[in-house]
Amino acid sequence: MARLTGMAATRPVVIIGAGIQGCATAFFLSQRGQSVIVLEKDHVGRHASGVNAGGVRRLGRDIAEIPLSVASMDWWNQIDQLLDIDRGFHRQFYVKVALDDAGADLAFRRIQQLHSAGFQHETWIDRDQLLCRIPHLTKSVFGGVLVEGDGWALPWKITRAFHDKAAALGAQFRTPVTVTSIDKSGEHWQVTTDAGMIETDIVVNCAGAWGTQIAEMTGDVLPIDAYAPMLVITDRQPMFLQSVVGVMGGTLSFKQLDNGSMVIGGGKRGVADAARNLTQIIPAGLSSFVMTAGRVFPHLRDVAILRAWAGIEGYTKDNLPIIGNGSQAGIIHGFGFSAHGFQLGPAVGEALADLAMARQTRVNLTPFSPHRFAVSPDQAAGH
Amino acid sequence: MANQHFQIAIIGAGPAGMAAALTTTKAGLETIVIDDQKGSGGQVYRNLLANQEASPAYLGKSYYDGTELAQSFANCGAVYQPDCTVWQITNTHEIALVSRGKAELITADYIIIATGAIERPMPVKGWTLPGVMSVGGAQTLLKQAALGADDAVFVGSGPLLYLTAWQYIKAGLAVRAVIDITGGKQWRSAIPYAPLALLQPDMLVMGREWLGDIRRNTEVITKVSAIEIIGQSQAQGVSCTLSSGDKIDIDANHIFLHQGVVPNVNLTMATGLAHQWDHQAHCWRPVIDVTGKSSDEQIYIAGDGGGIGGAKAAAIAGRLAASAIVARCGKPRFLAQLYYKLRHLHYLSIRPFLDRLYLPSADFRLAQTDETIICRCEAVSKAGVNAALASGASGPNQLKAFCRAGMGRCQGRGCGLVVQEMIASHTGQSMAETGYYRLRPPVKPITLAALASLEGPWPD
Repeated sequence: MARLTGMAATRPVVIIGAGIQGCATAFFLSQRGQSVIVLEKDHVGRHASGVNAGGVRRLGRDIAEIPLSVASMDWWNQIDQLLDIDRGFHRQFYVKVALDDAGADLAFRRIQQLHSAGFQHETWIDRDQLLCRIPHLTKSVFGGVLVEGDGWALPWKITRAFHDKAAALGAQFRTPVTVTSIDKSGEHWQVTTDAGMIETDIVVNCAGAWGTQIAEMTGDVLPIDAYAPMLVITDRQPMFLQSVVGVMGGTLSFKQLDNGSMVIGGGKRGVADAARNLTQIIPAGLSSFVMTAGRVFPHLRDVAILRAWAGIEGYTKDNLPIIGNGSQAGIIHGFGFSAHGFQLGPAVGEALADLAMARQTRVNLTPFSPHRFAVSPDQAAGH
Repeated sequence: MANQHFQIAIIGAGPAGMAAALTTTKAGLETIVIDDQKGSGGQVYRNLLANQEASPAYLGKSYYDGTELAQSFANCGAVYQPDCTVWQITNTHEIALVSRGKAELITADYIIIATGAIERPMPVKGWTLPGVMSVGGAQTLLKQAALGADDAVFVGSGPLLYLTAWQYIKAGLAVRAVIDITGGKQWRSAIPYAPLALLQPDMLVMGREWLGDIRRNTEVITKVSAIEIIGQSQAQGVSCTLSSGDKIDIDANHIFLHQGVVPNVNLTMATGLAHQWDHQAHCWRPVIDVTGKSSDEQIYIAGDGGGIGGAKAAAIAGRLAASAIVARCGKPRFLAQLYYKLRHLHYLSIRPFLDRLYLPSADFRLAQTDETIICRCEAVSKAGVNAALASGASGPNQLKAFCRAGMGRCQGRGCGLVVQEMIASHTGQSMAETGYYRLRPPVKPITLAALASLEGPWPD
C-alpha cells in the first residue's frame, strides 16, 4: 500500500473507543480534513474518561512521561479556544504536601531527580508559604512539591467537548456499537461490528480498559489489568481551596469544584468487572483515603459524602501507557493509561492523529511502544 | 458490634422488619435489626410505643393495629440497633453501617431488606417553596411530635393523603381544602378490579370512613387538570385549574402534596440486585420470588420495598421471608409458609384496584410548566432537563452529566422517576428500556469523619 506521508487517507480512519483519547484523536484528525468513524460500545465518556478525578497535572509524573505531559499542557492552556467552551481548564497550582519527615525527604529526592533529568517545573514550597496559599491546610504540614499552572477540569465536560468539536468537523460517532472482529483483507482492514462492517486502512485502538481485546483482534498481545480507582464527592461547602492537593508518599487527590463540592480520590481501587461494565466500592479503601484527606484538611470532619464511584481503567505492568504502531501496518494503539491519562489526552490525540497520517510525532513515543510488551500469540497461548 | 457476624441482618424496623425478626428469633437465629430511625415502627407505626400512653384517638385504628407487633418486637430478643444507617452492602455481604458518627462493618448469612416506601415525587410549580411539604412529612410531624398546622391544603390522591387529612380533622385541626386529583380515567380503569378489592372489606370500609369524614368537614375539590403553588419566597396558596377550564385560588401557608408511594429502591439498586419496571404501579421494584428472595440468594426483600402492599401485607411479607430463611437453615415450616403465602395474596387483592385508581395521570407525574423544578437538590428545572435531552442525553446516567439532575444529596429519590419518564417520552423508549440512575454508595450521606472511622479517629 503506497500512501503518501502526511496525506489524508481516502477511507475513514476507524477509532475504537470514545473516551478522551479516542475523542481527541477524532478531533485532531477531523481538523486536518481526515474522515473519521468512532465506534463506541457504550456512550461517549462512559467509563474512566467521564468519571475520573479530573486532575490536570504534570506533577509527580514518571520521567518518561513528562515530555508528553508538558506538550499536552500547551493544549490545556488553550482548551477553551480549541474546543469552543468556557472554563474548560481550571489553571491553579498542584501541590503534594509533605506531612512528616519521610514525606519531606521524598520531596527533596524527587526534585533532585527531576533537576538532574533537566526538568525544573516541580519546586519545593515551604510550610509558611504553603499555609499562606492554603490557609486551611493542617498546621503540621512540612511543605510540599508544587507545580504552578497545573489544575483540574471536569472530565466528562472535556471528553464531551472533544466529541462535539470533532463531530462538528465531520467525525462520525457510532454508539452503542461493539466491535466483534478486525481482519486483514488484502491491503486494508475490515472492522466487523454488531452494526455492520467497515473497511479502513487505519484502525486506532483507544479502547481503554478493553484495549487488550481489541489489540488481540489485530494479532497483538498487550495484556493490561482492569481496575476501578475510587472517588468520593462531598456536599457543597464555602470555597476554601483554589488548588489541587495531594500527599507525598501517599495517595490522595483533593480539589474543590466551582459549586463548592469536593472531589476526593486516592488511587485506592474498587473491584472492576470490565466484561459487565460494573464496579464495586470497597468501604475500607474509601475509609483509608478519606482519612488521608482528614490529615491534610482536619476542618472537614463533619462534611457529608454524597457519593462514591469508580471508573473502569486499564493498567499496564509498568504503569506507562501503550501508544504506538501495532505489529501490523495500519494498526495503532493508544490505551492502558493506568489512571493518569486524562491530562495526556490532548497530546495523545495529536500524536495518534500524527501516527494515523504517518507524520512525525511532536513527542518521542519510544517509552510507550507497544513492542516493549512484545509476546508472540503462540507464547501467550503457552502461558 | 464492629466486625460482628450475625445469622440474620434485618434492615428496617417497620412492619416487615419487625415481623421478620419475630420469626427468626423464635427459630433461635441470631438476629440484628438495623433501623435508621430512633425507634421501631417504620413510617406507618412511627413512635407507636411512645404514643401508647396518651393514645391520641386521632391517629386512628389503622395506626394502633400495629401495637401488638411493636410490643412483641421489643421483647423478641433481636439485637436492635436504632439510629443506625446502612450505607452499603457489598457483594460479599458485608454491611457498612454508620451510627452516631462511627462507621462499622458487619456480616450476615442472610439479609432481609425492609426499607419500605418513599412518596412518588409530585413536581408541581412552586413545590420547592417553604410551606410546601409532602403529606408523609406532615403525618410524621403528627405522629412524632403531635405537630400540625391549621388551614392547610392537601393536594393529590391516594390512601395516605386521605388518612392524613382525616387524622388532621380528628385532631381538631382546620383543613382548608382537599384537592383530589384522582381523575375519571383512573376510576374507569380501576372499576373492573373492584370485585377483587372486596376481598379486603375492612380496608374499603376504612377508606369510606376517611373520605366521608373529609367531605363532611372540609371542601373537596375534584376534576382538577392542573395545580400550581402560588408564592414568591413562601407558599401563599394553591391555584387549581378544573377540567371545565375554571380556576380556583385558595389561600394557604401550608400545602401538603402526595400522589402515592413507590418502593424505596435506593439500597436494593445500589446493592446491584435485579429490578424490573412495574407497569401497574408505575415504579421500579426488585425482582423477588414469592418468599421475597432477590437475585442474590442470600438477600430477601420484604414489605413495601419489594412492591407496595401496605402495612399488613408488609408484616406478612416479613414473616414469609423470615420463614423461608428459617427453612433454609434446616427448620422447614411448610404449613406456616403456606399460610403466609395465602395471607399475603389476600392482603394484596386490593392492590390492582388501588394502583389503578391512584396512579396519577402523566400531567401530574411530569411537571406542567418549564420553570418547575424537577431535581430539587441541584435546582434543575423542566426546561433544564429538556435542554439536556435536546443536546443528546439519551439515558438517565448521561443526563446526570449533562445537567446534574440526580447528582445531589437525595440520589434521585425526588426526581428519578420524573426524569426517567421525561427521557422515555422524548426517545420513545419504554420505561424499562430507559432504565434508572445508577445508584452509588453511600446510600445515605455519611460524614468524612464517620467514613474515616473505619481506620481510626479523625485527625485534629
